[in-house]
Amino acid sequence: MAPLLTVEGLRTTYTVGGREVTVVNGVDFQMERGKTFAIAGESGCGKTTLGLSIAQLLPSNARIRSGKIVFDGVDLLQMREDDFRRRIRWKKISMVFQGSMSAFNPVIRVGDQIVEAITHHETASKSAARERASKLFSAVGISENRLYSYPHELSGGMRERAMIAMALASSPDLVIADEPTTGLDVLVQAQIIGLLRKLRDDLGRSMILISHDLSVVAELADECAIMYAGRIVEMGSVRRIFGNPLHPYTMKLLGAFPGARLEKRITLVGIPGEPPSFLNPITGCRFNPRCEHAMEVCRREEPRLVEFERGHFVSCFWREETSGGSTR
Amino acid sequence: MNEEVLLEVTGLKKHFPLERSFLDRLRGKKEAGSVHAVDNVSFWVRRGEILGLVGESGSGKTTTARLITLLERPDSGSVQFEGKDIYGLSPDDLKNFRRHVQLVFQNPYDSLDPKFTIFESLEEPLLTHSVVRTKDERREMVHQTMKKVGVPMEALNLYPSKLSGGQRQRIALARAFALEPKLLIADEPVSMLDSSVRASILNMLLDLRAQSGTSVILITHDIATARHVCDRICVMYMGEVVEFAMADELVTNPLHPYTHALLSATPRLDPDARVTVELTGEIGSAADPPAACRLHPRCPHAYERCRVEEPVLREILPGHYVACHRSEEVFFPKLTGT
Repeated sequence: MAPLLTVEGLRTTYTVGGREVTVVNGVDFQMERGKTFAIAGESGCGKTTLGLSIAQLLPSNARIRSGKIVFDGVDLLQMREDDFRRRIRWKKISMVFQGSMSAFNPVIRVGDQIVEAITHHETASKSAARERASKLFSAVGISENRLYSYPHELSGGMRERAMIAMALASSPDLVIADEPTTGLDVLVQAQIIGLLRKLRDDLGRSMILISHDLSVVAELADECAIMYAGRIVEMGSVRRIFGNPLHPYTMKLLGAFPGARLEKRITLVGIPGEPPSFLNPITGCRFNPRCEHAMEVCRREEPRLVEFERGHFVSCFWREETSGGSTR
Repeated sequence: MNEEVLLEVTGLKKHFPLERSFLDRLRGKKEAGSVHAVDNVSFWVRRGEILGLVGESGSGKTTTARLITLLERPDSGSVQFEGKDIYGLSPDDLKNFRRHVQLVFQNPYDSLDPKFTIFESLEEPLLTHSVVRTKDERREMVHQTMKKVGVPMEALNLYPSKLSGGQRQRIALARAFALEPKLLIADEPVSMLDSSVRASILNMLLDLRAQSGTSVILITHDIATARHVCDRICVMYMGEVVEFAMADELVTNPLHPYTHALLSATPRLDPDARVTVELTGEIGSAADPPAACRLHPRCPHAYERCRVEEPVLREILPGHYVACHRSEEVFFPKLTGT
């Protein structure tokens, strides 16, 4: 079956203070229908910009410089903007934003906002839209009378559920969820994780999950791309990436994460230095100043993302050189 | 680790009164009620140990920290630091207390004055507490501190805004440790940082503790972080302590339904592991907490007694304190494997 989404050579830039900086720098990936594909990385790695590029929701100072985003056989970047708005946005691709408080209008009841979203994008009557809104609410586990609440009257978890309900309003083929659980308490996060998993398993939804939290990625995703400084450094199934990471950054990141095993106390090992700023790009491999395996070539040239094992991609000179050896 | 208790908190209580709304005043309502931020909280910190104060937002962990550092006064209860009640300290003792108890916030901007260069920020506590006399000595101490925390010397003449979040938090911790305090209270020190930087900051905290023997209260919402960093963990729910034990013991053998739920809801790095939700609903309002056991409306094990009688914190196994009527019944069969 043809992939639902293919991204090729995508380069997105921002103009900051008269300078153009590259935030997504040549990203390629494919995702299949009915799967959850995670884009993981630290703040400033370009993961949100990648999501916004696909949803065509970039701010006005951003520009897609090159590449293709082929969704369901159509290159979205070749589409006219009003065409995209009419045919794709909301109906085919919708987005759940980080920070559910700011995503809703604070002075309009949440139910009315969902109804408005439906009637704006479709030729549905108000009563039909309202009926659908209450169905959506019960699907995401909020009682229907909450449709009459204002956003501030809902708890963080309920607002997140309402956001998800709104994103599902027109049964899109692809939902892009940007940090859907960030800022929620652990118990509420677990509920939202359960809800998102249900959407995939029971309703067959395709989802792009954008997250900095590797443990949430391990919970929810089938496939995963690890981003660093605007590029994908490793990509493959979550089992492969968490069980047998190939890129030094992924290996280190997993070692720095406290959620690995709670039964035994472990020593967390940090990564020296900090992620680079887009304003001062690094020559060669972006990770080389923080990498213990960095070689001469890493400081000079940029590695390409290559298929190291079947379905498991990595961009690392050290890995290419030591191929075949132990990976831990 | 020393067995000696450095800080002992007993029956601490703080309610914040709510403002009556205009409508309530018109209706002639007398009382607006209050937010039960901290209710009857007791725990202690031994010398040199790291205690984790773990709970969700609204559990009262930050208010507890503010009470211990004299930023708030409690309604009742006492806090003994080295055997002296901190709410009745003489001016001299108070100055001593402020030197020996330091606080670091989640946002390093809150700990650093944006108009001070890093050098000035690090020098200030030395001046305030007249630790060393001459300028050269102070300079020397600041340089040593910078070396200890691994921030380049060039940063000394910069303002906090020029540093990254991780560097700022390093400086904030360095500043707190400069006076070699007996107790450091760190309120969510890494939750604003990237995961690759978090571990380094937590390790720095462990190193500084090892060098100076400082006791630490680490406030965190993340039980996984607490597990790998702390010696003991105190779990709070809606202003109350529900469980208090050594970190190993608490994580491998939780005896309170809330701790158990917290652990099952914490995602692991394993793609085959699954979080489970053991509690129904969400945390209620602290202005109107449930009667008796505050967890009972959400707890799968609640029975009649939980609705009428408040459980007290009791030592159920050696060094393992739990506030639950049904701990033995629910969790002991699992313990013995029957």
